[in-house]
Amino acid sequence: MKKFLVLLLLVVLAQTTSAHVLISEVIANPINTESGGEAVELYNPNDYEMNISGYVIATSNSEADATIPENTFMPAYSFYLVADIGWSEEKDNMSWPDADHEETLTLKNTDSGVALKLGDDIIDAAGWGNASEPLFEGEPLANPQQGQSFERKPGMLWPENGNHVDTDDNTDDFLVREVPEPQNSLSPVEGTISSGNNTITLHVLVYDSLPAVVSFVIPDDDPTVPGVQVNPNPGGIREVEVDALIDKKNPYINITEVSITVKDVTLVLTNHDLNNTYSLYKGSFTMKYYDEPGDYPVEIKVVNSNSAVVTDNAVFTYMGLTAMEVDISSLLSSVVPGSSVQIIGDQNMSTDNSTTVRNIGNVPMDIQIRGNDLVSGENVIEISSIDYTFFENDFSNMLAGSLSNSFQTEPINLGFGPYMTNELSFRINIPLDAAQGSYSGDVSIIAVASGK
Amino acid sequence: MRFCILLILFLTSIEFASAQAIGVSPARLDFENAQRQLTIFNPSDEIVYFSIHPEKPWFEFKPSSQGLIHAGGNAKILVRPSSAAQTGEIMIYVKAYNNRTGVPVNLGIGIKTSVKADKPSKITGSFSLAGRKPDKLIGSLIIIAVVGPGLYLWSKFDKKTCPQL
Repeated sequence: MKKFLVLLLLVVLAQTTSAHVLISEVIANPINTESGGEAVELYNPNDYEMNISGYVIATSNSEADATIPENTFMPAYSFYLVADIGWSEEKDNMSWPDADHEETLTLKNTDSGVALKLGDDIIDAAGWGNASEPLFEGEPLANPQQGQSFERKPGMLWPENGNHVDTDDNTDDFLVREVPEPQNSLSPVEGTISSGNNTITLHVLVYDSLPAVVSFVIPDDDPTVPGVQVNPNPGGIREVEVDALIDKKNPYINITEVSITVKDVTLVLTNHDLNNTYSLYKGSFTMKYYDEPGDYPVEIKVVNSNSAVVTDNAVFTYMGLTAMEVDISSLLSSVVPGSSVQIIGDQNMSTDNSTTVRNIGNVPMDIQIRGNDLVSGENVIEISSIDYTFFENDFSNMLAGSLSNSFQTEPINLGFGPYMTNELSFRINIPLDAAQGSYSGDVSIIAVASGK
Repeated sequence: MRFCILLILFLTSIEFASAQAIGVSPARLDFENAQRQLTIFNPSDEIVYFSIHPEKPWFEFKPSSQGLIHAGGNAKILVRPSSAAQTGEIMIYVKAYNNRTGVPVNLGIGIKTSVKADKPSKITGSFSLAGRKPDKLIGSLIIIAVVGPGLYLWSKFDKKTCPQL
């Protein structure tokens, strides 16, 4: 069941307590240039005119970085824009209004702030990062990303209703704008309450309190197949990264946790805040190489500070993988004609001088094996002089034979799991009449998924 | 003395030290007049040369049916039935070659493949290689630099030791 939140009463109360001019928007980290692109917007939240002559903008650069000229008045609910010298030419967006007052203004991108002062009195302040006194109120905002501005609420949350929220805590009072909207004295006035003649117009802002999963992305390893395919990592762990874009829907209610559940394991994702409305959550889960191929559901769960819970589901396909590892790379050593050499297999990949085949995929596998004759100049030893077996070094077993030039399939049906191995033994029988020489040939071992 | 004369030297030693490995995903391919992707993995610690051999010339491979994969990397190959494809089931073999002399033991993967022949479609999409080091871009440049000489060497190597599957 959806819940709704009525907010404005607090907003109205906040407005009624504001009797001074407020800093309503700050552009500290412009895109084009730091010189000429920075600005501080002021707002008169009162229903009467304010004289702001001699007001000072203090920054970390100067206690009086800019001074409002004499005979400057702000009508009720109006704006006043103070900007760095060059604003009219260097502002990020030429459609923005010109400043009411241009003066050299230095706003640092990080760990700084601005204060509006009259004499020694601090009228208002807005700080970000590790701002120092008196350039912030309460908890400073996060450092601005390039192109962003800070706007006092309700601002874009409630257009045309001014910027009057003032609880003396920057984090609560301001929001982050991806697209700034500076206003000057010629901009339309914006007020929240019109009172008089014994009537009060009460504006009620209603938010949906349930967050929404905008997107939930698992990277697709195979775009030729519909859906999301995830490849195993042969013999190892596959780390699968996930991104979830969450719409908080209500800027006054924070997301407390976003988690995913895969294979009955729940993992909490990490928040990478984008703005006041959207949050990007990132994380990863792991798949073992021997996890069975097939479809795996993933549930994403979002909980907000209002205890609302939203879940969503996705499915990925874990691909089948045929993969093997063999601990031998070349056969044969010095051999006497008429003799035979045996290479004993075992089921341990770490032992020397014995051969092992390991399934490092997630499907059971059989083996196809063949070889090419051993050649030394014009002398040939047929490849059939090499015997093999996949069963307990027993060369007369069903899973044994002599190599030939064509593939022979041995249905060893080696299963998949944490350490699934099979022995492979060779016996090399050199004919008595073999000529002396250095012979070369090759042996091929092919893994094939068992069954149809 | 006579025993020593009869001794024939094949090669220096049996090489157990370095394990070889290869993997291919998916484990099975089903075509219904569509292209599919093969991912060939090289989980070993050495660079490998691979080549793809269908039992019948029913397929086209993009960008190529052969190439190099760095240690820990993979190659993504697009596969589609050619105009010669017929309805049926065959094997596509992916074979990896090591650079051992003498009698190398080479590994491969066989993929059971079913085809439902119809009009062939054009290959679309992209090809990528991924490895631990170097990164994709450098890996691609290395492929360009190495595949040419590699193919030349391979043509010689092939005659001696690795006839076609």
